Amino acid sequence: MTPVHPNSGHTDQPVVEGAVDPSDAAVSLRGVSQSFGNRSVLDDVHLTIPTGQFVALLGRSGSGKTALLRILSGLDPASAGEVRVAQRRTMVFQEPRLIPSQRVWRNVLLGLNARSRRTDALACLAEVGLADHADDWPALLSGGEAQRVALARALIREPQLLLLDEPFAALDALTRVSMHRLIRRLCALHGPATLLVTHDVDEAIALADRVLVLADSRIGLDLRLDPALDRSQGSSQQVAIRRTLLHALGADEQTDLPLASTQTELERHRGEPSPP
Amino acid sequence: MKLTNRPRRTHAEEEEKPRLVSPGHAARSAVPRWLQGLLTPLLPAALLTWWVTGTVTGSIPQRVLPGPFEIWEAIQRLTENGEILRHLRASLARAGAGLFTGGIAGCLLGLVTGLSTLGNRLIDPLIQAIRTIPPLALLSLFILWFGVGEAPKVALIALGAAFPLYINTVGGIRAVDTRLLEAAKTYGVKPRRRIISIVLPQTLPSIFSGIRLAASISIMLLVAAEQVSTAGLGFLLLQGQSYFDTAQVIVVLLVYALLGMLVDLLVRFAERLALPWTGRETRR
Ligand SMILES: Nc1ncnc2c1ncn2[C@@H]1O[C@H](COP(=O)(O)OP(=O)(O)OP(=O)(O)O)[C@@H](O)[C@H]1O
Ligand SMILES: [Mg+2]
Repeated sequence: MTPVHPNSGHTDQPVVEGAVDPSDAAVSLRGVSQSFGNRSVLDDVHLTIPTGQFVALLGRSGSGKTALLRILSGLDPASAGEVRVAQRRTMVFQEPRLIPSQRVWRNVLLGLNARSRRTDALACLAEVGLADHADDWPALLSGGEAQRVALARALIREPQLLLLDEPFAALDALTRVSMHRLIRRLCALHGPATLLVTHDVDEAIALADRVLVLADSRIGLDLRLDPALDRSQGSSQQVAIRRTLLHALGADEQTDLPLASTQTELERHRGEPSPP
Repeated sequence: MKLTNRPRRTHAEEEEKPRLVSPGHAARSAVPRWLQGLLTPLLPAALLTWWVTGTVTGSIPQRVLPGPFEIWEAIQRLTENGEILRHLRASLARAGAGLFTGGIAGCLLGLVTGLSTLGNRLIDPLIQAIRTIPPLALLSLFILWFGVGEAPKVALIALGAAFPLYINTVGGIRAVDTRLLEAAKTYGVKPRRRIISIVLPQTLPSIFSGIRLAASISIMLLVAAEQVSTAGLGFLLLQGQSYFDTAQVIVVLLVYALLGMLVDLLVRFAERLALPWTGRETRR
């Protein structure tokens, strides 16, 4: 049995076998396009994400990943197509975007009603390992700490759709791995549909139920990863998927193989498999 | 290049490698520290010596610059019957009233211009037009309108204080990080709350520098406005001038300087209290 269910069709038929009832979906895009001026960034994108699915979105820099997330979050209108998304959604941006004039725990409670309490914020901060920093000003946090506060801010609202725009880019390898576990755990617990933008192919394989590759303004590849897949770094299945993804990204076969990420190195040293 | 072909470093070469410097001290001046400590008070001390010796020996005429003794006498004369306090109070009342009303007005107008496009269209062109008139020139008009009482003086100071606060408020709002507003929007923060909890705090530093500017401008205008009055520091100044009392003029100038310093300190202190998140450790 192959662990991978590659999308047999093209972007016109993104919904593969066993597709869920659309009414149960957290995201439903039909023929969505986005263009800035006369530059087309997204072109006729179809995408359905069922509730509870963890989707990783890969794509080269400037391929329109952020543009897609901005449409889903409701910040930008799509220039064409039909966009339907779950009502409760939160977004973690590429930068932390904390409010400098509010203490960390206040930032976590951003947008929640007045009844939401400090203890809730503290509990959520403890989950991302920042309970000690609850009363700090955001300007005093390190880049990775700030990003984790942003994550706590997104998680505390228990969203139906969690949009993550490269939230781990500023984290060190170890923290990254623990954040992966955290995200997986919280996603399993609360069951939001999650769309994670990342540049890291290994991160995508380690975390996702499904991997999308954005290329040439379209979803060029839509891979379902079998839950039973052996995701440990360097396993034959992992390597095969990795090669497929890198190929879809347009990376050169010769140069991509030695490019193990720091995360890869780390896990290899500790002899620890990635979280399933 | 093969590594094995590289010759071993000699001792001399080792010593030639670039010296390490501590970052942030690269721009330190070549003048040694002890000399720097001496340089700072050098000029004031020289000036002071020139003043004391010049006035005592009589090489500086009394009318140009009275000596320390005459200055001391003038201070005593002005403080003895609380006269200078009366004038100071009158001046401070005027400056305070003008600064307060003008500052509030400038700030409010700035908020309207900065927060609404309609306000921007409606208000901004008019204010920019009025701003081209030098405030001092308006004193004559204000005297014609309001007579010679308190009103024209306060109006002049209010006008002068309003502009810097208007401009700094608008500029502060324009400089607010839109990415923060965007984030708040995705988190469902309503527009009014976004203004209160993000826009206004982010604008405060700019408003505070506007206040500092307005304070110094209002003291400046005070001098001019009080040329036509019976009380106030400006009156004392003019009185000293007409009686050829240079010592009194100099004492009043000293009071102005003290006043300016005090106000600046006060605003800085208020700023520190109001903006705790821009602590020293986070300031660039
Ligand atoms: N508001 C805008 N106006 C004009 N062009 C835009 C705008 N927003 C995005 N673009 C362009 O759209 C393209 C896609 O941008 P986007 O931010 O989605 O890239 P990305 O895939 O997120 O890249 P990265 O991985 O570097 O973050 C870029 O070429 C960008 O210049
Ligand atoms: Mg991006």
